[in-house]
Amino acid sequence: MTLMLIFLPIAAAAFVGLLDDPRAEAAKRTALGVALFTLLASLWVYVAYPVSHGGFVSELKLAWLPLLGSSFHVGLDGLSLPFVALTPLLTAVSVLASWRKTDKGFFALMLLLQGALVGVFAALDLIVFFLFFEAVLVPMYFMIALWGYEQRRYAAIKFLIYSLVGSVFMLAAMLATAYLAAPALGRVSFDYLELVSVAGYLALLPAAGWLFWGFALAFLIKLPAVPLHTWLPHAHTQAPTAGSIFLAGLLLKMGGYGLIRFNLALFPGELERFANLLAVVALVSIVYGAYVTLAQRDLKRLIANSSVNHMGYVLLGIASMTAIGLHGAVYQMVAHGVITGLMFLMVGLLADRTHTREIAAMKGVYNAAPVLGGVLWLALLGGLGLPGLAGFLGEFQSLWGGFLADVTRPYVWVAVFGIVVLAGAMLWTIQRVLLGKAEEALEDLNPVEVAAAAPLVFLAVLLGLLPAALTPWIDAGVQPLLALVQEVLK
Amino acid sequence: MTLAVIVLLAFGGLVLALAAPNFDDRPGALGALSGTVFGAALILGLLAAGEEGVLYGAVQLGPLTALAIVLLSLVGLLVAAGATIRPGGFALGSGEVHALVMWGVLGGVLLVGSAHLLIFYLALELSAYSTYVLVGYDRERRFGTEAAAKYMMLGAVGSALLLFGMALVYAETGSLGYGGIAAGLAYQTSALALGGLALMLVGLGFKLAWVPFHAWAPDAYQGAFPLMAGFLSTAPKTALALGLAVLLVRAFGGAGSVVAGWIGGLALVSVVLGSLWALLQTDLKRLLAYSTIVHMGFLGLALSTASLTGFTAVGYYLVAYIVTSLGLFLVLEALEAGGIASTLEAWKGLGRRHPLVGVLVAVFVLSLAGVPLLAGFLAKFYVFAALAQAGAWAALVVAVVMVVFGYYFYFRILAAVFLDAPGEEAPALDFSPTALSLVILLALAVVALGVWPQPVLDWLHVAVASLF
Repeated sequence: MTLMLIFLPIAAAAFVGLLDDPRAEAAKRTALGVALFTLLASLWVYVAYPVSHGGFVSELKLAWLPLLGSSFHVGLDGLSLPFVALTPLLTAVSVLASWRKTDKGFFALMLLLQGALVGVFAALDLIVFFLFFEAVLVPMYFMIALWGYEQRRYAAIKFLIYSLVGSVFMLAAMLATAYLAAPALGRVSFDYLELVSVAGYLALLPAAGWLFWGFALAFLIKLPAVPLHTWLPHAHTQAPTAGSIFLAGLLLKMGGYGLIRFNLALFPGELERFANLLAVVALVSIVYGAYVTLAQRDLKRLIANSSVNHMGYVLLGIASMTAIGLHGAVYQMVAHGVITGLMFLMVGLLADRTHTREIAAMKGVYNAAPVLGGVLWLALLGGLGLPGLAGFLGEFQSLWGGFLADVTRPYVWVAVFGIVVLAGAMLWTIQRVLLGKAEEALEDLNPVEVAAAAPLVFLAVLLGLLPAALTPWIDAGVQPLLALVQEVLK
Repeated sequence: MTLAVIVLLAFGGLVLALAAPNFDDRPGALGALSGTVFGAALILGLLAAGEEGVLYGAVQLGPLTALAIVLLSLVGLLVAAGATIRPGGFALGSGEVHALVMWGVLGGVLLVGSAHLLIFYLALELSAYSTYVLVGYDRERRFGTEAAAKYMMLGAVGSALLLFGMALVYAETGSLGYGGIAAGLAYQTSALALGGLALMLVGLGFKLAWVPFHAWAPDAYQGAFPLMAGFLSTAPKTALALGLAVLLVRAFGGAGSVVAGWIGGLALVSVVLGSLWALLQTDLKRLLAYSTIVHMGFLGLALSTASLTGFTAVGYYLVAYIVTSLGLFLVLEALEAGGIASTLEAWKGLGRRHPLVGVLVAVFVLSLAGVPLLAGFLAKFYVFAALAQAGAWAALVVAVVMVVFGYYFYFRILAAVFLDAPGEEAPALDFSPTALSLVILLALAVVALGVWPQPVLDWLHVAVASLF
């Protein structure tokens, strides 16, 4: 099953690439079909997941590089399943959002991204994880560089270089971890579960701090955390709508997921040691991200910068190392994927109509196009963390978790200012863009665009009102990790 | 079998050189003949893995020699096929190309199989002289002659230093056979012997184009036909890397670890400076020359660990590099034959004018950069694993950082191919079907090696393990 979720989109990408299809009619239908099919399949795994037992399902281990101690080991648990289900959903949304594109390559790249992202979330072997982590970069580079806005090449190469710097250090740390853990395991192994089983040994290594930061650097760049975030405003702003949805909805999540999956599980002692520093970074991301959002004049850039603020909560929740905090981090990531995906979708559709992203040039959008304006309104409210929408629960749990831990408590007080400032930024945006009287008519959403927005609206509301649709899964993923962490810390 | 290969290649080259003038108007026939010889050599090489013993006290038989035969015959086969791409052949005739390639391959095989420094030197010169002529083949243009002259001058300096080093080693140990040298260096190493080894390494450094002995490489690549540059960047390097591994284990005895340390230093400098210089290039062949320098640096890092993992990494790196680099040079050859110069400027918009060629270029370039699921990534990864196993953390960190620079200059090629619009007066793109099928085959090999490397790795592991 996992294999199918990873490789069906990749195979479909090759198929789409080979189609003789100048208008991309068949390509976009194939892409949509594959995305919907894998969405159903992943939902089925999601629903069938035994939340009371936890553990990994659809696990698969194939011999791949036995000489080096790496195997193709994939599996899904409560931590990865929400993202594995979110990936095909956002792919389907992106395909619908790009329905007017006429390049088959664009759709092939989306499918490649989908497969590689699922691979990232499903990997249970360090090398396999790295493989997919890197494989995401190339299609994203081309998506930005070929179909982006005016500064696309600069943004694309900046994204590539930033990500690479992180991932090469991660590769070095992975190799070092595997070889340094070899005495405890009796052999060199890159298998995640085997390495986790010797986390106690890893904690005693003198180099543990270096290994921790090797991993953390890659994930903090991806997340992104201030001051490693400067690639994000460019990449998100210059990417085409579908690219922005992928970036915000899924690529950033690789950072938070990686921090929990690797930094927390393999090096809990180091995480505890550096929790204070991480909490400061999180706090700066929250407050600084909110202020920078306030200052933006470009609507896409505004949303991009609000992501820095949102991801700060994720880091805060992780730094607290409490169950609630981790819950909040994962919940916030899923919620952010849905809500920010929706924001980028709406802003992209709006920019297609107004041919500008300048906030100053827009006025009365709600008046001119009520459906578009209404959905954007909802998305912006979700972005400020309005209770009743998904974002609130994520932020609230992260802050609560932060409050429960001694190390993060003082920062929570300051983080509250971030909430206020970001709320101000979002409300001011609503006032400037949506309210007022329209000067010219805007075409409202067509049925395809409504179909793209509908699932995200539904999820934003569902996850805001019914946390039980997600919490048990997170719990099944987080509790075993915390039990392990307690054991190692003792 | 090894003896048969040596005879076959020597006489095959002779026949081709003599028969060549009669076939100048039919390059296909010569290519087929030469390809048959290399194919036969390749099969014999596969069969030769089980052999044991030493031939006439000079050529070591065994899996490693067989490995060299297989890899070098593969290069020869691909170059022989590539020599038929140019309509009308090369200005100087195609037959001599095949003969020289064949002797170059023969030199390489003997270099790896050698058990005696004299044979090592002769094999090196045989391979070097073939490439001197091949580099200068484009004599109608100024760059071709200049390239050959420069390459030959510096090559001669390298050979002289190598000989001097050998003489010093002989003075110390009283032997030129690998076994005798190893016995002489087993317990203590005098300053004389170390000086000799250092000079030998400098001489080999010239041939492998390690910084600071690399100065000839960019000019030689730029002046040569892309096919010859492709041969130059694969065959001699393969032979030298494997030959150096043999020397380290079998001949240098107790001094092996010292020499390995020097190799590591040269390799690291090559990786760092090569990557930085490559950022400045606009001529594709010069860029690929610096890319070769960087790759030889990575290879040297693996050699410097002098471990089983390290040498397996060397083997895999060579396999990956042969298919990737030759694939890219064949694309260059086919495009130059079609009138498109090998510069970033001329390549602008290539992906839009011919999407399939664009994708094939992307596969090779991404593999050179080290993108996962392609051969080049696993090659680098294996090198890093060898460094981690050896505990060479500083070298590992420097090497992984340089990968980022590598990405930048390789993505400049892709940016030109895919992002730039084609120039106004771009000539019509005429890509030879022979070249296309060859290149597609190599691209598939790059993907296959990246996704399912295990069979090749097992085979290499066995061959390399015979060294220890």
